[in-house]
Formats: sequence, structure tokens, C-alpha cells
Amino acid sequence: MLTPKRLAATSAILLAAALALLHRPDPGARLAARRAALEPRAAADDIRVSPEETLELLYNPAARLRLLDLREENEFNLFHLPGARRVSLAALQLGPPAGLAREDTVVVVSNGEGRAREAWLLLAAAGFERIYVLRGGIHGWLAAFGRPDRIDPSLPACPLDDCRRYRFESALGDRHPESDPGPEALSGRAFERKVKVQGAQKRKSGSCG
Amino acid sequence: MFPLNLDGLGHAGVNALYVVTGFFFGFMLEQAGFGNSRKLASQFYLSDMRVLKVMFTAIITAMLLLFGLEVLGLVRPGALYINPTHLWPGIVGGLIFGVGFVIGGYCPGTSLVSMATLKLDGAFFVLGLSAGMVVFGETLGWFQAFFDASGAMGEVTLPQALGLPAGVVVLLVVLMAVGMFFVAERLEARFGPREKEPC
Repeated sequence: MLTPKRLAATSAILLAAALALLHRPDPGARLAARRAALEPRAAADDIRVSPEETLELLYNPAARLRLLDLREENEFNLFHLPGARRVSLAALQLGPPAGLAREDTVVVVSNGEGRAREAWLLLAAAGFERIYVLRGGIHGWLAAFGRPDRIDPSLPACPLDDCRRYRFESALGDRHPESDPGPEALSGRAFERKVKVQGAQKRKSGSCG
Repeated sequence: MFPLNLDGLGHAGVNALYVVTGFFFGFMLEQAGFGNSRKLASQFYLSDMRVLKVMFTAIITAMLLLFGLEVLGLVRPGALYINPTHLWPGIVGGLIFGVGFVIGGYCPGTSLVSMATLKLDGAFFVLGLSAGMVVFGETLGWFQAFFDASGAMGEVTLPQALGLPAGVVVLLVVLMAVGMFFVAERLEARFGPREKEPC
């Protein structure tokens, strides 16, 4: 006999089956198909930008810098770079974050480089081209601009240096002075520039006639 | 289209929306009988499985609606918040939560519902809950290493963890829920209160 309970259960199963048939694959599935082709590029050095270049880009509006932070929520709350937006690898596997434009310069950040490299692959599979990995991640940033005692050698390291090795007394996010040392921190430092800023490129190329 | 942008409501408007949503959530819990600790605790004696049935009905209803909106292109799944998985802290916390549930007869949300309906046991449970939150918050540093390193899997979804397409997982969860409802009703028939025989 078709009781209301049986009717509800049957409807739920049929609806789930219909939705399963109509669902399209997400970027995570697209990456699975393209991983072999993209991985050599993800391992190459030309996609890794130094903390110094990242700080310089922060102060260059023409760069349209977007910082995507792949760390855990508690790590992000503890310390993050100015204007950084926290996203998870799981969310990136479902689709790129809202508001991210193809012409933006995207620098992906994790504690070391592990999750950032995976995020690079996902964004590359989704069709983004101006994607970079922060060299050394937050550990690299703190080595460049942090207090010397920020890195705690007693905290365990893990593959690709992606486990947190820094300590902060308070979870102040981007209000720690080391988050934004200002452009003056770059004076006297030599560093390689890998990101081609679109506005600057136009000025260099002159007329197109 | 979704998640909805609430910026236009302003700070007070968003807070008012939270209060209204919370009120209706509490109202539905009360309607389901979850403001009564005896009814809640009886699921652990397999005599009244309404907690499992109501909660799993809510889970599969929300899951099917959300998945349906995604298939229709009305919600962008990447924009949704995914709770990070810390496996071992989750298991230990779940056990503590379960013991508290059996002893106190409430979980956090239902204790607030009970207190709102002026039940004394609910109010005491909320007092204990608040004390536990303060103690945990103040001693968090002691557990931080365990929290960081024990089974931290990040924000992982079931399809990612199982390596299956999302649609297949949705169907499996619905089938699991229906199977659980069937078993729950059998358990209730066996362990639940029997109707009195007419004299």
C-alpha cells in the first residue's frame, strides 16, 4: 500500500537519481583529466613569486593582485596577508571563488607551498592564466618580513613545509605589523620580478600602429 | 543567485534575520518534540527514534534542495562554507557530546529550546553548557597541537573523500537515510512503548 511515508521515500530516491543524472562535473573532475599536462608547469619555478615581489604587487593597483589563502581557518585568523581571502581546496574543486576575474593577478598562499600548488592546478584547470604561488608560503613571508623568533623550531615540519611552524601571541589576522611591512621594507633588497603587470607592459610597448 | 547577498539589509537587518531564522529553527525543534529531554534521550534506549528521523529528514531535504539548485545553476557550490574536518578531535568531541546528551537529555540547540519554554532542566543544561564553553575556550592552548595535527583533513566533502561523483553520493545518502528510517521504525516497534490491550 502506498502510505505517505513510502510516497515521500520513493519521491526522494527518484529526485536524487534524476539530479545525479543531470549534474555536470566540477573543476576538481576537470583537473583529474588534465593533471598530467599541468603538473610540470606547477612544479616550474616561473610560477613562484618571492615575498618581496608580492609586497611590491600589493602596492601596485595596476597588478590587480588577489591573494587567495588556502590555510585552515584558525591559521588564517592567527595571521594573514593584507586583503587575503581565505578559500579552501574543497571549495576550489567545486569552482573558482566569486569575483575572481581572468585578468587578475592571483597569488595563492599556504603555510609552505603544498596546498598552494594544488590550488594553482585547480585554477589553471579552470582556465585562469595569471596564477602564481607565494614562494615558501607564509613561512617564506615571515622569513623575509617577520620577527626572527616567529618560526618555532619545535613545531613539526611536514611535506612541502605545509604544516604551521609559526607562533603568534594573538590572532590579529592582517593587523600584525609583519602582515604589511610597507613598501619601504623593499628598499635595498634585490629580487627577481616574474609577474608582468599589464598596465606597465602597455606603456613599454608604445604605439600599436 | 545564491548565496543571497545580504549587504543591502545592513548590520541591524542581518542580525534581525538571524533572530527570525533562529526563532523558526527553535519553533520547528519544539514542534518535533525536541524540547523534552525524555523524548530526546529515549533514542539511546531505541524506544523513540524521532531525533534520527527528524534530523536525517532535514539533512536529505536540505541536500536535495541545495543539489537541485546547483544543477539548475542557481547556486555556486564554491561559495558555500564547508566545515573543516579534524577527524580525531571530531571523534573525541563527538563522544563527549554523546555522553553529555545521554546524561543531560539535550544537545545545545534543544537545551535552548527547552529553556525558552521555561523548563528548569533545560535552563540548567544551558548553564552547564556555558560553563563548559568558557573552560574549553580558556584551555584551548592545551589541545591546540591535537587539534592541528590529528586527522586534519581540511574542508573536505563526501564526494571528495569517497572519490565518487557528487550525484552518486547524493543518491547513496538518500538510500542510506531511507534504510535507516526503516530500521528505526522496526526498533521502535520492538523497544518502544506498547499500546495497552483493550480490557
